[in-house]
Amino acid sequence: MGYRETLPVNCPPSESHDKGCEQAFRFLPVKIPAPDHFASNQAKGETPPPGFDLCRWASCSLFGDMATVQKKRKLPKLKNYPFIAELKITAASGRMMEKSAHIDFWMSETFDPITAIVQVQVL
Amino acid sequence: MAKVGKSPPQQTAKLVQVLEYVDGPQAVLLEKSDDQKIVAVAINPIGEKTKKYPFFGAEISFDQWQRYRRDFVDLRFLFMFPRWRRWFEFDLADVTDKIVPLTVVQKDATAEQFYVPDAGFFASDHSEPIFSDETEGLATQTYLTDGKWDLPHFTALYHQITDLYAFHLSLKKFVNANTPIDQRRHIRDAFTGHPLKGGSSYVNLYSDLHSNQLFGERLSVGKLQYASPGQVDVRGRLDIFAEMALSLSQFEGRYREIKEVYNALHLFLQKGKMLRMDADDEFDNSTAIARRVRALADDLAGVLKLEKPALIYDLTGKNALKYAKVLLAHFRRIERYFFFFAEGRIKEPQIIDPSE
Repeated sequence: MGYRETLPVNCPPSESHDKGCEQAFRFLPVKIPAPDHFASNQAKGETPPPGFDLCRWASCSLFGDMATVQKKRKLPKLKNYPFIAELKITAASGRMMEKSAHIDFWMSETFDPITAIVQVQVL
Repeated sequence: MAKVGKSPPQQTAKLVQVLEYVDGPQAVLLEKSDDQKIVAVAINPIGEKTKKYPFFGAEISFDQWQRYRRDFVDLRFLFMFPRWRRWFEFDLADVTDKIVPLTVVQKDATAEQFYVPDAGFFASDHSEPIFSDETEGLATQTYLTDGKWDLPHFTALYHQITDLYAFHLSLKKFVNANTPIDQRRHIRDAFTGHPLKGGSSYVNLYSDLHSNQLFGERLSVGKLQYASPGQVDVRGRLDIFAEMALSLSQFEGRYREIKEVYNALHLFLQKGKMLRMDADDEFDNSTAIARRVRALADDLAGVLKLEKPALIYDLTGKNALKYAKVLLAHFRRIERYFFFFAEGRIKEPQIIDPSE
């Protein structure tokens, strides 16, 4: 599988999967989503804090349910996101690793997050 | 967020782990010492933006951390009422060999409005599992209930479990070389400090044993489902659950025999009017009667398969009557615990060892 960006060695991890998911959520800063809203920190050219996992730095954070989204919004940097995009991600769209309803998503080169959006909701 | 003083001394802390990750670290745990931990959250600073990955943190105690990790308090509480009443800001980009330089700041109105998390974010909401320290050796014991249960029944069950747990834990702690002297003294005081004339004396004994437990050792309820069938999950030390399971298994196979040994001791004390006797002031511990009491109590400890009956005797100040009464009280608690199973109201408890 080719990926949307160049990934570090051994990334995504072997325990990730490419089965997709029926429902995933992503914070949005504006109502009209753009591909950049799904870009990883690496894709944005950000340098990770020293010692942090470069593979994860190249992932896009999603959530598995709305209850988790509402919990995350209690944190100061996340509380001001006004919108949430709901996505349906089909198999082979990329690889995912899920942990406590947080999903690290490494998108395949052919995956278009905008077309995967089911709806955008106001938070 | 005003800085404190003209030139506050720069402090440092060790980065322990990321607690929350959403497109980068959103919450982290730092440590200055065993009893000085810093929980910190990523912020968008108001005013000057000189930091690449700015964080705002609060300095909390070990006990607060234990409360937080078990969902007894939320993250906001730690920021609002940190034990050491100190707040910091730092830049995660400045980490060198896991050491983070800190700047002391005040939790002013701006910080409270923009940097302190909202209420309702708990440790169980973290994206990242908390690295184990105290959870090593912890387990969850699941009780599946059946039949009709009212709230007082759940309360009664929980009391039996907590009393038995406190009893076994105290004995384990007393012989552990790492237990601080003051805690060992408290355990000894719990056994020796009550006349055990009946009623509240026994309650006070167990109450003292409870109060001597550190927060990370105490039983906590993980799940409580009031239904029929329902479920009660309690979390505590695996080795203590194992002791309780051993006691229960003894009762399952030999209840009548154990009860007869209990009755023999109880009857002997009753005939000698020792049940309501003050073990300190009214009992002569040097007589043949005292030796007989000790022997009957040893018999009871034996059929109960208690691990350290000599230790219990020692903890009571080698007072045979206190030793006997402690064992009688312990028997009654196991018996009440056992009846929940014997009546078919609880199925065999399942211990879930997190290491498996």
